[in-house]
Amino acid sequence: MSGEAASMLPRLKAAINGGDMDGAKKLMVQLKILMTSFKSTPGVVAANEANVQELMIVREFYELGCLVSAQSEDIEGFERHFAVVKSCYTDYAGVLPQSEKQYELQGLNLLCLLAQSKIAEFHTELELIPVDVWENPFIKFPINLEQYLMEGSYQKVLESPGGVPSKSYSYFVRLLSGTVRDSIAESSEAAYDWMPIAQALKMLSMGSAKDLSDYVVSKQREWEVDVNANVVRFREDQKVDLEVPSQRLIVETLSYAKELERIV
Amino acid sequence: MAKDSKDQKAQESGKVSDENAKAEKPAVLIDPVTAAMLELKNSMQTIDKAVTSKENRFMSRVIRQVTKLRRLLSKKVLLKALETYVSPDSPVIEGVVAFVEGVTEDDVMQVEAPATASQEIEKNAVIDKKAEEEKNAEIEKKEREEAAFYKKMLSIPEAESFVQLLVTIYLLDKKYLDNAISCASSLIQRAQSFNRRTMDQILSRGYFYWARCMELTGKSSQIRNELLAAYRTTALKHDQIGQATLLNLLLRNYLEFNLYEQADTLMRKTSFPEGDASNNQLARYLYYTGRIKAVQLEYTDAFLNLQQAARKAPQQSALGFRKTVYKFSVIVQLLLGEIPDRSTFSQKGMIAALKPYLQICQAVRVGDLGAFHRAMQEHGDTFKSDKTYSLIVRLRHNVIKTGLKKINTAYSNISLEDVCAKLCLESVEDTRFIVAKCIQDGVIDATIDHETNTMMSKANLDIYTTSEPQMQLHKRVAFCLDMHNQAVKAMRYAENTKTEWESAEERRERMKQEEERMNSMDSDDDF
Repeated sequence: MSGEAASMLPRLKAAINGGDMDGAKKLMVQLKILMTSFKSTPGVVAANEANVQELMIVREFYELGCLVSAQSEDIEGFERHFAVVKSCYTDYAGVLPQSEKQYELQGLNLLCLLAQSKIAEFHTELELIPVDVWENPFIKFPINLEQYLMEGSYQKVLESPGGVPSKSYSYFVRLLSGTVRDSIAESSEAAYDWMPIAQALKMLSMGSAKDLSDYVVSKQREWEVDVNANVVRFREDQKVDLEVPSQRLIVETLSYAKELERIV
Repeated sequence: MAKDSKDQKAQESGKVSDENAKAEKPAVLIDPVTAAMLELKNSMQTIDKAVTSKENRFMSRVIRQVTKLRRLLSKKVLLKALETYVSPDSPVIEGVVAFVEGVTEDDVMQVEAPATASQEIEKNAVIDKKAEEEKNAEIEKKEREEAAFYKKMLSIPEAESFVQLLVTIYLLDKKYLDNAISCASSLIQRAQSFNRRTMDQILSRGYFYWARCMELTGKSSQIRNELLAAYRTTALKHDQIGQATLLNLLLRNYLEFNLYEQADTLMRKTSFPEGDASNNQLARYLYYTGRIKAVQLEYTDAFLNLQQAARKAPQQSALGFRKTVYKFSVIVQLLLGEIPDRSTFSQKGMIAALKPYLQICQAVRVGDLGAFHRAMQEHGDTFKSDKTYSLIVRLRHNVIKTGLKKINTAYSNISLEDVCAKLCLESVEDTRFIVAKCIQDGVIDATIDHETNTMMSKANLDIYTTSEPQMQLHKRVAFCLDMHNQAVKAMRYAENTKTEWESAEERRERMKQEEERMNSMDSDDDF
């Protein structure tokens, strides 16, 4: 059984390299059926009793599955596949030789979390990767992106597609650019009173004033795109909150009274 | 792991000072074996009391006495203890005796008799002088009593397990790890088979030392399932002390392998039994949860937990633990945007250990990226071994933020090029975005003027016109109240069963005992 499955893996790989996603998905279904007869699947057997050959096939299959999902822009599928792969990397690290795709996939997973702004999960995953490996290009890429995002070097994030370490990363990077554009829009809104349209286009990396107007409408931002004066005016009035927070004060004072009573 | 070895060293240094203090008093030097046996007998009497009254409180006292006994242990003492307190029919005795026999001892120290032991001897001496004929009767009676006591102890399984626990600790101290593991696991098996509540605490210590030995031999990844099973059992039996110990062991185990996700899930699905568990276990738990939360960017909670952990830890000993806690708490406080108190770094015994962190702290305070990178490079390996590296990496943008804040207060109008140069950033384009983000995050109150490409700070708002002071006041009041409540919770009262009149003599005796207990609590062993 495992021989048959093993022989199908190169075909799957060829389909992925050739960009034939539909073919790849069909092959994956067949392989999944074959793999149901495996006795050693992650999570089912203990590390020391596992059949290494079967586990290797399972691992490679799910690694390829991750790549297929990443390229066919399927985040949920990617997360599902990666869950199995991760178990192979951590729980069976002692029995299996290290996969050559390990860093690529771990980096891809980090990027996936980053693109969805799951920063806490990002850091949890990052802790699983030894610090010595952080210099690996696959891992370094998402780490750098996260730092740029945190400090606000959005320009570097937008430039990052040029430095993508593998073509499988491109979908998530594109996804990330969208998130970054929103962040840029928000921070410019706060920082500027107005700016020329040309500058705004450059900052948001858009092509024409029409794109900008469309963007403003679609995100429901209160910007005024003035084509005649050639400027964008951001929302001006920032009301100073003068209201007395009575509700909060009452709650706090009552809690002091209660606590003090307990002490006395 | 490194932490614990440090802990031990710290403990040892603590001991030395203790002994120096004692040496000033006139001390009675007696044979170490007798001293240890007297001390052990003391513990056994408490065990007897605990078992007859079914009172777990006495059991925790016994466990606390382990610290004192640990220093007195030797091959002779243990062999004698096994002979006296473990019934020869016990299924484990042969193995345990063999373990002890296997240890080669290098030196036998003359140990100073603990206070109780010397007193008893003095008492004996007094009796000697009183009356000759009375003495014989007295001794005979005493012997009879003692024989009865020993006989009774033979039938109490707690006594046997306690001795076995001592053997495990001894083997661990003498670095016979494999033997210690088998000794501990046989202890666990045997203790479980009795299903007695007074056994729970000995059992939990058994697990503790077992896990520690496994960790030292590098096998900790294999014991996770067993620990989980044991945790379930303790939860079912409402054994809070065991629950607390095992929860900490599990968290430690996960964190050793950086499995923060699993540790977090465990933490969320369980609650720490605050009622009965010892303070030290609580301090540990707070430390572990603080670390987990720090990784997940919940800095406020993390900081609170770490602060509590530092406060709950024994203040005299456990230097290693406190050092580690402070390392994390300094970094988390910096991540929160606050600057730790200078006195944190000048605490006794911590100056050297916290020095790299002081450098980082100074860099963040001034907002100097250059100094920050230098400190990172210089102490990178220290941070990596402390497991704080990944947290420190995140500090970079805090450095930028403080730098920008300073510039904003100093200049009312400054060009972005200058900001870029001052903060050692890479390009003006980046600077623009960074400044914009800081404005949006509310770090600085300014606008960017497009035409002149400058950052203009708005007139600094008088903070006393806002509700900010009130918020600060609330924060501080809440902190004080919380501290008070924690302190109240941490107090323990003995169940007041004997309200009968006691004579002045008895009271003095009781006060003395209590004081002693307080002292032994302070230098608690399980760190």
